[in-house]
Amino acid sequence: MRSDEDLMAAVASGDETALAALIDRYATSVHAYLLRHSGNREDADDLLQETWVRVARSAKRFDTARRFRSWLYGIATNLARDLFRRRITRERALRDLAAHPPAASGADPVDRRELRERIAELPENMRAVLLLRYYEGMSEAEMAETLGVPRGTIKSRLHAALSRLRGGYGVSK
Amino acid sequence: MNCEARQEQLERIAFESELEALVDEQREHLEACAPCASHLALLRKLIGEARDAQPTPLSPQLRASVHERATRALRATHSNLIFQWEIFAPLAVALLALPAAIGQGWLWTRGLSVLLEPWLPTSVLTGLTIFYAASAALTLGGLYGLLPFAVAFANRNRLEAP
Repeated sequence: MRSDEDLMAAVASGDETALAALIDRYATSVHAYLLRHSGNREDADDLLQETWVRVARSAKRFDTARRFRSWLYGIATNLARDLFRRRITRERALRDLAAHPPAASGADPVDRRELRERIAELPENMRAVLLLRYYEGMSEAEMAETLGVPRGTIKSRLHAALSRLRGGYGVSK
Repeated sequence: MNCEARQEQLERIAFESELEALVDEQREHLEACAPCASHLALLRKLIGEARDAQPTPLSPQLRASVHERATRALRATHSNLIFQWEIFAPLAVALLALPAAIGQGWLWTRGLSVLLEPWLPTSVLTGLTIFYAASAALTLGGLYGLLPFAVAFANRNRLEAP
């Protein structure tokens, strides 16, 4: 099987079958990521299409020394972030958070539905790190490449995200 | 090792088997410390949730739309975006306005110079003429310089449109 980077080199020279192969390989997982990230199917559908349009447009500029997956998820994350900023969903999330305060200290961990809701309420940069780590199984190095930030920032965002998710389950000393 | 360091160590693991191996090493502390225990419980839940979350297959319509739009975008990147006759021709007509604008500017500066000559020194008139010519040149240069970009943008949108 051809590597992602080989396929991208072919895409850069205009090979449509290589582009189709990459879409078939990644579209479903990127869609699932965008769905978790945006929390809305219509947004995820639009963002998925826009992501692949950007991939096609930028194919000539893709550095084949880079990992395609990181680059692809970076594009998807940036688009989701732009949408998030445009819609000011942050305000809505904060409103929801105020309406559903975290459980009191010492409570049992949240159930899965509540967990998903809390992930949706995280600030966008923390949510991206959490989703890439646990749902996409990316390493810290891959996440750093995807999000274009140092590994230290990834670690601190992940820790902050988990602390927020944990909500009132006690404070570490 | 304090609790925060232990929790960060646990956070570095995203797979169940590795997490449980680390838990075995730290079982004594994790059983005694409530914050670390709840942190571990959250990580287990998160890893379990991620493991069980199966991506929904794309609908055939969405898949087809993604393929179509991406393919169109790829074709557009390999097209000559500037010299597409349908858009470039009308914009080329706009270039005809350039000599008219230059001529009009020359007439204005010439007419004003003749009119103001008795009252203003030649150096001031020359300065005003140069200022007018420079600002007009910058405006027109910027305007016409942007035309190729506008054409490329319009052509790309046209080629990518479903």
